[in-house]
Formats: sequence, C-alpha cells, structure tokens
Amino acid sequence: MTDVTIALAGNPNTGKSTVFNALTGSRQHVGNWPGKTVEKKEGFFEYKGLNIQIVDLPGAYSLSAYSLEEQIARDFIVKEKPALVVSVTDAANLERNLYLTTQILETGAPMIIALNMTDVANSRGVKIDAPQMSRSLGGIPVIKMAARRGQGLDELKEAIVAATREL
Amino acid sequence: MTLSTTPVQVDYGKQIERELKELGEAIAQTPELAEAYNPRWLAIQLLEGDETLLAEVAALNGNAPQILEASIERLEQIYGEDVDVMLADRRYNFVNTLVQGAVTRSTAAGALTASDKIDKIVTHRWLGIPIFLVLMWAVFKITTDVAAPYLDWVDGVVTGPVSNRVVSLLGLIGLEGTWVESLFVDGILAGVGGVLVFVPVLMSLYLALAVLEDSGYMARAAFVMDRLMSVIGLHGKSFLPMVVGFGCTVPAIYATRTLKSEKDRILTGLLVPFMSCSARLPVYILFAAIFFPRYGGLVVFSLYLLGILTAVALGLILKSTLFKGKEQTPFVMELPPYRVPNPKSVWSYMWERTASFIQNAWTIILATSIVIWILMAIPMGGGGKFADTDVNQSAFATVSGAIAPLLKPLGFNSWQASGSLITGFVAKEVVVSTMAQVYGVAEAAEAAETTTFIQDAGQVATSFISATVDTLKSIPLIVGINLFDEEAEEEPGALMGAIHAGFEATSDGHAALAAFAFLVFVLIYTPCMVAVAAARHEFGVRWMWFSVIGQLVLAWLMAFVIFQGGKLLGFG
Amino acid sequence: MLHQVLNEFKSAQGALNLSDLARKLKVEQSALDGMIQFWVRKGRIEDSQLANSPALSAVKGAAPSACSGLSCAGSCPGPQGCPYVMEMPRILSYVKK
Repeated sequence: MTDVTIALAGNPNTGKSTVFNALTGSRQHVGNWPGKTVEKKEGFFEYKGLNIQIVDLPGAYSLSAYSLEEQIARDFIVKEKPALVVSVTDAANLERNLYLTTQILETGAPMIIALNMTDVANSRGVKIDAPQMSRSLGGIPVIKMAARRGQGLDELKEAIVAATREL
Repeated sequence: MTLSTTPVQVDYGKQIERELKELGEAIAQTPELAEAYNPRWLAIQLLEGDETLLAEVAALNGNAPQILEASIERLEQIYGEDVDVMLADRRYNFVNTLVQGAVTRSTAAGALTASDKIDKIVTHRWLGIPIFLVLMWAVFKITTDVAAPYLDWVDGVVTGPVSNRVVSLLGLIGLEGTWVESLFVDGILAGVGGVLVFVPVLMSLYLALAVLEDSGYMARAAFVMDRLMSVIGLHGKSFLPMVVGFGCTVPAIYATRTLKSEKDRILTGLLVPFMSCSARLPVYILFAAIFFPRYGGLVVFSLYLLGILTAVALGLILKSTLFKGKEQTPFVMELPPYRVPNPKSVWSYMWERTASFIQNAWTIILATSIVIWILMAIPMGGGGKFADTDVNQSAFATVSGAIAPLLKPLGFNSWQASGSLITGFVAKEVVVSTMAQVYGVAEAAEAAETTTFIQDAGQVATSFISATVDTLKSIPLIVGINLFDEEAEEEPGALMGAIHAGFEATSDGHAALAAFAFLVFVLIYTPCMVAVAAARHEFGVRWMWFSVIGQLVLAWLMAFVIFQGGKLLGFG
Repeated sequence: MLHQVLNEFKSAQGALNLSDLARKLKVEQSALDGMIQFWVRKGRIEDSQLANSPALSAVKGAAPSACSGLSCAGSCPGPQGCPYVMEMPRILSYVKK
C-alpha cells in the first residue's frame, strides 16, 4: 500500500522530530536500526491520494561517517535510495545545517529543503530569501516552516507529493 | 524509476575535479559499482579516505586503489594538505557563498546580542581590568561590611553561651577548674571557635563569587586576565589555576596540569600561591577589624591586589631568568551568554565551599588547637607544673620565642606572633586560632556570669536578629548612606585589645604598620602544608624547596620594606 | 573557509572571543563551531571541553588521590572532588604540527 518511501534528514535539534510527528500523527512505528542500538522511527501519511512512508534518519552533522548516526543516515540515503530526502534545516543556524544538506546533494538523491524554525530566525533578525536559495541550488524546492506552530506543513506535503510524482 | 542527478554541485576546483573525473570513470567501469553508487559521490568519499567504501570498491575493481593512491599523492603534492581538508574546505565555501546570497541580517537585531554588547565593555582592551578590579573591590567591601555583624554574633555565641554550657557541663562531672576545663575552653573553644567565627565572612565571600561565577562573569574575568598573563609570559590558560587559587591553593596547583609545557606548569605553580586563598581571609578580617576598623574592605582588597602584583612582578623576573625563551600560544575562548544566576546552583557552590571550611575547622584546626594547648601547658624553665605554668615560660613560648628575633626588623617579634606564623604552616586559618589561644589566656580569667540554658538560647536568638538588622542597615552603607547611630563605635573585645597591645609593644608604637607588615607576611609565605605536598607531587622536591624558601625570603623582605619603609615615611 | 579559521587560530594575538571571531569571518557561530570541530578531529585544534582533554578531569580526579596519603582533611573532601574547582569556559587552542 506504500507508494513511495522518503527520508527525513537533518542535524540534531532542528525540529526534525516535530516535523516528523506533524506529518505522520499517530501512524508511527518505533524500532531499532538493524543491528544497531539507534532508534529508528517510521511513519505513514496520505496526501492527495498518495501513500507515503517516511523514515526519520538519526540526527547528524555530516555524512562523513564519523559517528554511528552519520553512518546510518548515509547508508540509508545511498543504499536504500529513498524516492526523496527532506533535509530539515534550522533557519537560525542555517550555515551549519547546510553542510549536511550539501553532502546529501552530492549523493545525487532528489531533495527538498525544509527551512524550519523560521520564527526563531525572524526574531533574531535573520531573513532568508527562499526563492533565491532555491535558484542557487538549481531549483531544489525550499519550503519555509515553523513546525512547532504548524506553519508550512501543507506546503511541505504539497512539495513532497509534487516531487515524488515527477519521478 | 531513475534518480535524476542534481543540477548543482560543489565545485572542488580544477585539480580535484580532474582526479574526481578519473576516479569516477574507473568506478563506472565496474557495473556493480555504477549501479549501486553515484560514481562522482563514491570518488569523493574515496578521496576523503573512507575505508569501508574503499574495501568494497577494491573487492570489485582491482585498479581503483592504485588510481586513488596516485590521485591523493598528486593532490597532496599540489596543496601540501590532507585531501579531506581540501574537500571539506570547498564544501564550507560553497555553503558560505550560498548563505551570503540568500540570508540577510538586520544589523539591529542580528549583529550583536545583549550579551555581546555587555562584552564590548566588560572585555574591552582598556576597561576590562579596571572593571574587574572594581567588581573585586565590591566583593570584598560587601564581604567585610555585611558579614561583620554576624561575626560579632558568632563570637558572642561561642564565648558566651557555648562556653558557659561547656563549663557547666564539665562542672556536673566534677571537672570544673581542672586542666580538662582549660583544654576545652582555652584550647578547643578558643581555637576552633576563633576560626568558626569567620564562617559568615566566608559564606558571603563564596556567595559573591558564586554569583559572579554563575552569571558568566568569571569567564570574562579570565578572558581579561589573559592580557596580564601574557605580559608575564604565561600561557593564557594559566588563569584557570590562578582563579581557582583564590579559593584554595591546593586544587590550583593540580589545575596546572591543564598546561602542556612543563615550563608553563612550573612557572604557574610557583605563582599560584600568591593568589590569596580563602583561608587567609580570616586573618585579614581579624586584623582589619583590630587595626583598620574604618578601611577594612580597602585593606583586604589591597592585600589581594598585592598578591596579584607580586605574582606579576615575580613572573616578569622569572621569565627573563629561569624561564627564558618561551613563546606565546594564543587561544580562542567561548564566552557563555550572561544569565541571571540560578539560586539553587549559587547556594550549592556557596554551601560546598563553606562546608569544606567548617570541616577543616573540626579536623585540622581542632588537632592543632589541642597540640598548641599542650605545648602551652608544658613548662620550660620557671617553676610551673603541667597545665599550671606561666604561658611565657611554656614550651610553645620558648620555641616560638627563639625565632622571634628574626622578626624584629618587621615589627612583630613577640613569641605570640612568631608562634602563630609557625603554626600557620599547617593551614592559614590556624594563624587566627593560635592568636585566639595565645592572646586569649588573659581573657579567660574573667569570670563568666552564670546563666540558664533558656537565657542563653534567648540571647543567641535576639543577638542573631540584631545582627541581621545591622547587616541590612550596612547595605546602604556600601553606597554611602549611613543608617547607624554615630556613637555606635563599639569597644573592641578583649582578644582584639590584647592583639593590639601586643603589636603596639613590639613595634615601638607603630602597631598598624606592623600589623600590615604581618598581613603581607601571611599573604606571601607558604600557604599550607597540603599545598607544599601538592607542589612536591606535581613539580618534584627541588621545585618544592625552591618555592617554600622563596616564599619565606620574599615574605620577610616585603614585610621588612613595608615596616621600615613605612616608618621612614612616617606612617603608622 | 577552513583554512581561514585555522589561520585565525594560528595568528591570534592573545585571547579571542569565539563570537567575535564568527563576526570577523562572517560566519554563523554554529557554523564556525562545525569547522572548529573538523580541525579538532584532525588534531589541529585542541578543545578543552572534550573528554580526552586533560583540563578539568585532571583537577577533579587528581586532588583527592594525591591527598590521600596526607592528613589533608577538609581541603579536598568527598568523591565529587574539590569544591573550589570552578567550571571554566571552553578554550580552543592551535596545535602545532
């Protein structure tokens, strides 16, 4: 019944879990990564008739496999080849977060950037030009969000469905 | 379903891209690899030194390892740097360019946080040290002013009700008037009680320091002090032991381990004892109360400052002699944001340190008090018996008196003063407990009033309340508003009077000058035997002796200059 | 970028504040931190707050053990170590190769 599988990647403390919970609601399954002691969260949601399975990757700062979390995230993206990777970034610490995003880009996986915590960034006087960012990245969708407040969720779902339909 | 390659890629530069292309083409020749991985991505991982992937590639494509090795060799030749550094560097550049293009920060809110703005002033090149000094002065002012009434309260409780209870209890078991009573009253109560009197002072000092620590200011102080440190040729990291040294010299000596170079460690270890540890504070406070009642805070502050200046001067001398040719290692420090101190953690900082002080009183001070009492009870010459001898004829007075002439030029050559300094080797609080014992003998002769337990308890409570009232009244005094009645100048206690008279006698009437010289001696000479043991443990026997002898000589010289110089200039 | 960071550490005159350095290099402090961690992993920068740094652990652990042979009583009580030890800010320094 699953039409596509997508992955949620991001640094620790980017509100990735909030995004995951907001997308899946109660349709979650928590287990461990095979042979690892790291928690694996999977969930489902349906949008516009598409059944989407979503895998929450462990929080990591890079894909360089320095830590177990980084290794799991990298192996999933490279070996399991999800239809789409949603890179959740903290808008208030964008520069640090984009390092991981850049490495995901390099794997060649299709990607959407979820620019989370824009409310925090705004309050610190940080303004992000999402269309400009998208253009610099060759048209990768950049969705502004504040998942804590439920802002930008529909836009994200819309972008996920649009991106997976294109494939 | 096929994966579309991304349109934008990090540009790694001509040389690296050429190698990536070559490696990628080699990988693409193996169908299993080409199917499983994006060849360019795999090439990047291999260049970055990923061993797991390399093993996987090597198993399927025998040529790849050689090609990779040659690539890495070429690149390292060109850049003189590890290849993974080059790759990460380009990636960071890519991200930085991306962010510069898409992010705008409103200068008002984005550039400087409130914390940053405070730091602009507090860690300013020229203002930093004066601000630090003013804050420290405030700490000692508050410590001495606020704690003073409680000091009287504890003093009253120990010499009044507690003594009375002990005497009447001993009386119940028929020991009244015996040497046992003398041991308890003149030995233990005078000694241990004499030190416990200072618990409120130390509590307020630790409270003030805990507030500075928890608010995040101490980190700034350390940052500011680095400038001073580098003048003396010390590594900036030396401030850690130095700051710890204001609390206690022993952990400060161990804290020198954070320094890498041995020269740094030894030089810091030699200077740390001049940071006035909190055990020295009771001596300062007692003497300030006796000899400088109006300028107590200032006198205490000047001693702390003198300690720092001595360390700086000594550092400069040692740097150009024994510790020549050391270069600086600058560093970067993360200053945590300022925050409102958390009452819970401030309390626990304060309480742990106060508890340690109290514990010391019940162990070290108790033991030395008993030893000193015994030495004072043993007659040497004269016709006395054990516990019934003229103190001036006691073993303690005779031994201490033998050293006293050495202190004649310093203005405090009484056996009481030299005896206190000798026992002060055990711990600096012992200087105070010994003084209380040797000068307190006359005082104990006064007959205590007979009171009931209820009366005592009532007195303890009412005097505590009046001490609290006095403390509250003294707070506005810090900003110059005096709520005290003018004639409130109290008569000094018998102990204080005895110490004053003692210093008056040995200094030809320059008691205050001799007292200040004595305080400087206490500041500079060996902190305590545990610190000496720590120095031996960390730096070896030779440096331990160098440090101990150096401190004694320096203490004598500085006290000499202050007493004789002060007399010449007509002070005191 | 990475090299600029390392150069700042190498050529700093006296102590530098991390947030000042971030402003000077025009990077977010968290990003600067990421780059510093890269150099820490490469062994070119030393971070005082890492577990393997000799900094605080030495102070906390060493004092009681060294005292045990002495009657040092209240000076360094308990297993929690010496109460006078302060938590010091994070210090990063350049490591010569």
